[in-house]
Amino acid sequence: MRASGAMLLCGALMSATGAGATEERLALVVGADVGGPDDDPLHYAEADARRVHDLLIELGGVRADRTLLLTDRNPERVLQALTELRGRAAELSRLGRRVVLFFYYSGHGDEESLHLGGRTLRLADLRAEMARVPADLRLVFLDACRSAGRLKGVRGGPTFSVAAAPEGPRGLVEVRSSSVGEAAQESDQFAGAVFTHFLVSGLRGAADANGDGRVTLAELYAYAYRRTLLRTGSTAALQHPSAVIDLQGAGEVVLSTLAAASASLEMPGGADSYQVFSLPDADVVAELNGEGPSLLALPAGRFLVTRQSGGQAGAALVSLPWGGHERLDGSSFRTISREQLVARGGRFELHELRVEARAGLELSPGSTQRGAFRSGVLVTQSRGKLELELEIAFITGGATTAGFSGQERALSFAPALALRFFFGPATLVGSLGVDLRAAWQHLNRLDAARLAAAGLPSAEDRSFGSVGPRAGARLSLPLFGEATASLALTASAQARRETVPAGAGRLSVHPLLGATLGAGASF
Amino acid sequence: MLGHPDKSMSYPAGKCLLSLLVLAGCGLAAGRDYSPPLLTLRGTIIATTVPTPDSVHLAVFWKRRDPAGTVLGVFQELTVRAEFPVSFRVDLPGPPPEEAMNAGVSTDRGAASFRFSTGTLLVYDDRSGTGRIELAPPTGTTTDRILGAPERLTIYYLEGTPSRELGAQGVHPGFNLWREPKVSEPAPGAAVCAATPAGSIEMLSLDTDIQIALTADPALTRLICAEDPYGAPDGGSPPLPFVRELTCNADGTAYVIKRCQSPVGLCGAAWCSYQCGSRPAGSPVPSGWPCH
Repeated sequence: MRASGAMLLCGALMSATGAGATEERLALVVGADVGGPDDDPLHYAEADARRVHDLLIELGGVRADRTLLLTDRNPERVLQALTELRGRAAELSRLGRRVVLFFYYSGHGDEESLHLGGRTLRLADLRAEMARVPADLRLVFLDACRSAGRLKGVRGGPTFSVAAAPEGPRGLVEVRSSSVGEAAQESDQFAGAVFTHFLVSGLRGAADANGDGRVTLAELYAYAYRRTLLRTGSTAALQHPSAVIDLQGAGEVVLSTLAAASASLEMPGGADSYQVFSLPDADVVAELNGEGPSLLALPAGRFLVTRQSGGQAGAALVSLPWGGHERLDGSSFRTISREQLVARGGRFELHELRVEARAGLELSPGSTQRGAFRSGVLVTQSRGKLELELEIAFITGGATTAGFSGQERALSFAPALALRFFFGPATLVGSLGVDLRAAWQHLNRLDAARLAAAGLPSAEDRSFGSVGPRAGARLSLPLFGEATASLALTASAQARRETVPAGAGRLSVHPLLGATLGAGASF
Repeated sequence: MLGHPDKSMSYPAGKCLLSLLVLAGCGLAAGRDYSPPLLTLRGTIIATTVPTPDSVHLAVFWKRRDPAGTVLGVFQELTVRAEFPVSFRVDLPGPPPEEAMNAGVSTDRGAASFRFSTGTLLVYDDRSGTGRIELAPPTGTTTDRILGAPERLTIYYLEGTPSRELGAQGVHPGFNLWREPKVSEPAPGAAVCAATPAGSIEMLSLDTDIQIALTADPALTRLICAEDPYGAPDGGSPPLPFVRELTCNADGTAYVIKRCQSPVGLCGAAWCSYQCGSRPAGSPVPSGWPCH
């Protein structure tokens, strides 16, 4: 639990997107799970910092090379980072750019200081150092317990007034997760702090009250205040976010632009509540509640969307490619039990069964069948990052020996255990298993016509089995809906007994390399 | 190559346990080097009068006559199993080379044509180290040394339907093994002026134990180039020049002139014809009589 500081809100909120100089944004994001000696370690503070850091780059208009992420729990390093940003800001100012500085902190704190790694960083020192950064606008978000605020210009309500002006506002906005005397709470359900959860969710679009595709500071604060208060209202400790505003000028401060996202997801309208989990780690990415915005800006990837509508719960699985936009409707959701939703959150997969048809080539240098056509069906059952695979394939192709030529066919039965890795919308699957084969050879002697004329046997039919380990890698990409395309590479070593002129046969091992293209769907 | 025992490995039945997991069970596959022999001949070395080299090879010398009647030879190298000098087994991996095949002529009305080749098993010393037998035409000598050959044993391979005559002898399509009768050259004054077989062809089972004496006799080289006992193809006549050899009886009243084709072709082979004559004792010597 985190202690809370005073809830302060100062001044009117104005904008950073007015006409005038080009705006450049700098950001320092700090997370510290370990606070002071008397603080219980937090679980998600550093993870929250990473989420905010990534989000600022993704939607906040901050270039990656102008964003610093610190999770090393070192107060001096925070001040050094601000010094570094001060130099950059000075350089940008000399170029005539309007500079906006973001500072985000997630961790322990009190009225006077932030707690990092058993030491303290005095808020006065922090503010003094930030004040030395020649930024036109400083936006400070402190998701810390008992974060104290200034008494001047405090506003406790969830809304700001916005004035129109030809140039962006200048000054300081300090938003805090709680008020004095309150605890800032972490949530295992969100795998993060409650306030940061709504901060991130709001920046992704949940706070875009007017639906213009831009989330302003006013919209974000109103959303985060309301949602944090509602969510913590069901707990023992109520949490009121607060804001301190000390600005001059006017205009809207746009914090995120939804169009900058690599993908987007649109929810059905209505009063239902939606939570979006990234897969397979099941982290809560965003949530939408009730009437209002329905569009979320998301990175490309796979997501589980849960819906709570009255007494019913539902879930939908969504794959968003780069640049993809998916619009969900009522039919997109599969009804699940509320117990399942509550008990497992996003840690389940709706479509665990996947069937894929595949075809390709198989090479076996040194064997009777150097090249063959392979076609088959792959069935997979997923559970988190693990996957069970079973491929049944038919392999056919020409075969040659020193004295024969003909055909070799095989039926392959290949179960495997696989591990899935997710890279945005792409899924890379590495598998290890066995390949069991029943094979047949129909071979004709090279001089078959002559031997037939001589009444000598000219053809042979053989059946045999082979077995060996098989390793594979499969890259899957979403096509549409639940359909995916894949490219698979396999390497195997098949052991089989081969005939010799005398004796019971010899054990022979042949390497196999395969490449297949597939298309399938999840069910 | 002889002298290198087969090192095929055998695996206990338990090693096919994994293979039993698949439907086909424990069947054997054909590997890249799979080329089972069409025919396996076995034999025994019955006498060795020369030191046996470490590396001894076997080949089949397939004979064919070209349209001009020239005997041509094609060697087919054999894979040898088991160990010299006691016994051996050799595998014929395939039919005789195409260039060794002769067109058979059947006198049967409406009979289908057939093709055939006759071969002789040879044991030779691969002096050249090339792994195959090599002759040095046209002298009839070998770069490699022929050590032995089975006496009067012929491997006969036939494609198609054999003629009635061949069928009557027991010849069937595929490989046949027979032993030819000894041939006696005509003596001056003999009733028949031709080489005469002493008996008929003896058909042998393909698993007959073939006995070979290693003598390294230079005549062996000539043997593989010797005259076909069945003569030249129909309509063929030996081209000139000939080597003429005259044999007269003691009192000069009878003679045999043996004329053999000059050495030509791969091994300097020739076939021979005989001209015989006799006159009563005490009768005047005819003009041009060769014996005096």
